[in-house]
Amino acid sequence: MQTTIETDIKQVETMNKQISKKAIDAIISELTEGCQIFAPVVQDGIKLYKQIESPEQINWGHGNCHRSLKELFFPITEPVFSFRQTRKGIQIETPGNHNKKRVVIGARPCDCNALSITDKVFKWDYEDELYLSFRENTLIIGVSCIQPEPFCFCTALNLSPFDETGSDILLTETGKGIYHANIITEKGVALFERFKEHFTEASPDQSARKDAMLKDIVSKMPAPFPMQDIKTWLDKNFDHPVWEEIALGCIGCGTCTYLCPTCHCFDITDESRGYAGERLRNWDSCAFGHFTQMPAHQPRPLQWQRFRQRVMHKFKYYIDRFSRLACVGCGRCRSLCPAGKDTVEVIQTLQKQIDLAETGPKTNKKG
Amino acid sequence: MNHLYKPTLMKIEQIKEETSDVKTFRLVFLDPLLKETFQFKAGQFAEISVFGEGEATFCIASSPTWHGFIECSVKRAGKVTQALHQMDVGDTVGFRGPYGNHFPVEEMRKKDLVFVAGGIGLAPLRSLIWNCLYSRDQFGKITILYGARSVADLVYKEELKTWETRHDTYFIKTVDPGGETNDWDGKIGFVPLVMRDLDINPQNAYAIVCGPPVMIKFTVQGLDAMGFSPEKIITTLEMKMKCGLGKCGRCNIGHTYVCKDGPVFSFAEIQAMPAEF
Ligand SMILES: Cc1cc2nc3c(=O)[nH]c(=O)nc-3n(C[C@H](O)[C@H](O)[C@H](O)COP(=O)(O)OP(=O)(O)OC[C@H]3O[C@@H](n4cnc5c(N)ncnc54)[C@H](O)[C@@H]3O)c2cc1C
Ligand code: SF4
Ligand code: SF4
Ligand code: FES
Repeated sequence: MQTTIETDIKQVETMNKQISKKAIDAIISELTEGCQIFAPVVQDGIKLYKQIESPEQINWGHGNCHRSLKELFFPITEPVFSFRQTRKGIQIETPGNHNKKRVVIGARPCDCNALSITDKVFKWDYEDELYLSFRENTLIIGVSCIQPEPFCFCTALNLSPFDETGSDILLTETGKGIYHANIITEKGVALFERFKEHFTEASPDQSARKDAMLKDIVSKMPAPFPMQDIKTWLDKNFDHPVWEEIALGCIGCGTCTYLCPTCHCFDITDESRGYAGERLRNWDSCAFGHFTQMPAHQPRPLQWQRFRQRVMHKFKYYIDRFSRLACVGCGRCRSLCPAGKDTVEVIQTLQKQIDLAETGPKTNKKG
Repeated sequence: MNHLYKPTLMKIEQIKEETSDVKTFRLVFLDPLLKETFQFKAGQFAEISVFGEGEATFCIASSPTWHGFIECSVKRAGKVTQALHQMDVGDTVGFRGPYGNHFPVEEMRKKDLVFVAGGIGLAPLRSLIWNCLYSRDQFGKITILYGARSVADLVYKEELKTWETRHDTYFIKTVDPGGETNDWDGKIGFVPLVMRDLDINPQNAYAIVCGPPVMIKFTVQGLDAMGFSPEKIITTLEMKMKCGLGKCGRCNIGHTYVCKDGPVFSFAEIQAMPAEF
């Protein structure tokens, strides 16, 4: 596929096109030649982004995949190299699968947006070629959410179920089998140019319909939280007694961080047999005690301190560092936490603290 | 594909047994060009790996003014350090680095320097001390206070003797009460207490402190009481690290990545951090 390979996403002036479901299928079929295609696939009741062979496998149903899009760029476990001890010394071989062209179709806007968050981490100062080469070689066709799930709260964070960030092309189903297509980036334009005959101009009617749909959907979703005020409160209240209360019940299983599209912590470990082996990069989690355990020292010995780290990272530390929130409101953490911990409730509790602080002296359980 | 996590190879050229659980490894790059051109600054660290066992973080304990090799002093603490301790001269290890910031050597010029180290905390200071002694005339009075739990726990014993006999350094050694031997000629007492009796002038001086967290805590309090400003008290922070590159997310204190923004911090910087280390 002749897409441009760029580290930085090249945003172009968005083109508004229209395309039918049939034409999308035709494009996907053609792309399977020479490209790896990934899309939401339901298997044993679980929806995941998986590699597909034909467009029939794509699950176009509403709702998000159980695990986020990040695993296509930052796999759950990934060999960073293999090694072999030979008579000539140690031979190291790095993976060769990173330059294959890939297309993702059917990614949700929150997941696409989340990539712009992980991008910043893997790009700042040192560039992480493992992640970035996957990113560069992948084109993303997002699909707007016309029927958000009960746990979704992107709107509460001022994001939109039709958000374009992170998608190269964004499809919005405006009628049965008819999609509005935003062509957003240079990569998107390249794909459009190649398959021009499948697209038509979006009619003003269709664009208007899309806008009306968005307005209607957003009106039924949570209203924006005062995230700036919450950040200001977090700036001052690392030691506040409410943290223990907020974290109550968390069993430190790490589910929230594994499912989260913006969590990016990892471990590096070796596995070997005899004279050969691999060094692996594996997802890790700040919810685990061993995450920060040192031989004679543990800065976060208690679960509530780890819980605080996760909240602080999403709603304060990441902002301090990279000037934006590290949560996209996908709702995975709240929908699948076995202990019923809910990120929205956490935000609401923090909001209550701000109100308390404003209305009068707070009565702390502990000093 | 070349990437950040691919180590370069080094050969163990020499192993020195410092204490019952600390060994100093002299490492040489297999690549002759790298061996010639490798540079780092005192205070920086590296990820050293034993293939099949994993990576661990160590400060580079040799001076940046020494060429052709680096040294790391390794305390046996777990999987990788244990594996390193079992290696022999001639064996190969992986190296990633140098990472992190460094001691403010340039700012320290023309100033009096007070080095305070405990146990294996002397490793990063050893790099800095030799760095300063290399151009001795550019620094003021140099005081080195080094303490360990017992006489057997003192590292770099030969070098301690050198510092003790040099006329341009004021060297004091101490062991914790009960850690002394019959022929011990140093002081007996905890580092922060011994420090109180030293002739130290905080004017125009830097204090550089490395050691176990408790020692750092009380030493810094002592220096503060002596009149050192928090900007002139320098220490290193140790958090668990994996990548050393500001990616893996485990070394943070607040929004600070200790691996990238540190490990060297002034006490003033530390005071501004949330107390989670
Ligand atoms: C910037 C920096 C510089 C450093 N410089 C040096 C140096 O110069 N020399 C030096 O010797 N060290 C240094 N260290 C410390 C060194 O990195 C660690 O000792 C080393 O990583 C240990 O690795 P390991 O694989 O041997 O231990 P691991 O096997 O990873 O375990 C280490 C210890 O932690 C304990 N542990 C692990 N997991 C748990 C758990 N879940 N619960 C309870 N305990 C647990 C184990 O008991 C074990 O003893 C430095 C660290 C940093 C961050
Ligand atoms: S918040 Fe829930 S999902 Fe996250 S670690 Fe705690 S128990 Fe697990
Ligand atoms: S914190 Fe929860 S809602 Fe926010 S992006 Fe992560 S998983 Fe989604
Ligand atoms: S060690 Fe990985 S982020 Fe600092």
